Amino acid sequence: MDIQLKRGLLEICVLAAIKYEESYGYKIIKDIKPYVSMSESTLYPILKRLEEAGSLNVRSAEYNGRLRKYYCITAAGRERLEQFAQEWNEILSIYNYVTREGD
Amino acid sequence: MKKEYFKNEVRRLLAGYSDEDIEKALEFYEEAIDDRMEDGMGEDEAVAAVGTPEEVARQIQMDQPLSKLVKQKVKEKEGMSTGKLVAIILTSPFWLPLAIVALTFVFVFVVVIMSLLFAALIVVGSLIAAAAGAILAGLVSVAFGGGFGSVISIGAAMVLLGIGILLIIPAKAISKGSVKLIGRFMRWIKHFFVK
Repeated sequence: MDIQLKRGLLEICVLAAIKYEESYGYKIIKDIKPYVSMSESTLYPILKRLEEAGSLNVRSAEYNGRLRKYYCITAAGRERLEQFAQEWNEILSIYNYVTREGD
Repeated sequence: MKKEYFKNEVRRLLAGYSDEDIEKALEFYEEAIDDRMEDGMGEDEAVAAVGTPEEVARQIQMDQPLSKLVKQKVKEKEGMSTGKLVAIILTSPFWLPLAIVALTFVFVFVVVIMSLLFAALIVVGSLIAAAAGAILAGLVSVAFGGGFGSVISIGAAMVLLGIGILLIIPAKAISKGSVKLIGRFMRWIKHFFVK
């Protein structure tokens, strides 16, 4: 797959993983595993980029005597997910046209 | 591989880079390793799952701004032997022009994209400003009894204003595209400095 496309898709997947509730690194990886398998060394720069773009917020909270970072989607992050869904609706209709069967 | 060893390996691979960036990243990996161990994995397995120290170090390097990467590269080269240094100076007639061409290429590319963006914004901005001014002038002239001609000029100015507002859409696309393009280009340049 085109590398730029894949980069964008991975970012969307991470946003989708925190769409309904905040989450942390390992849980995000586990949650999206059925769809994309990703290691922490891939996830870390994605989370950083999403934070810099204002798509998510980070907070640290104590868990089992250590600190854990929780990621929470922002309004801008939600907007990105909606935009993605819209764009792919268009792409899907083109796909259907391209792969249509003759009578 | 144990967690402490993993962390020290990453630190070793990134010797010379900002400690803050390294430690921030390592905190993230440590948390992930701890989470995996709590989930029932052994320490070695958990460390292996988050990625090799080389992968992790490379990702941290790619996140550094270009200026830092270049500086680091220059620093690494400082420990060179005299022989190598002499060789570099002697061959400078060959690589210096090439380096200048490469730098010029980078510079020109960024300037071209930026001027495209600038031109788009100026076209839209001046159209809207000029049209708004013309409408105002037309209204004043009508108020002072300018008659039919002034009304026509107001109409023409409104058409211009409409065109200007419509052009905001492509201008927005151009600015978005050029920012993306420059970002992509910079990432591509970075690849030359990260092994």
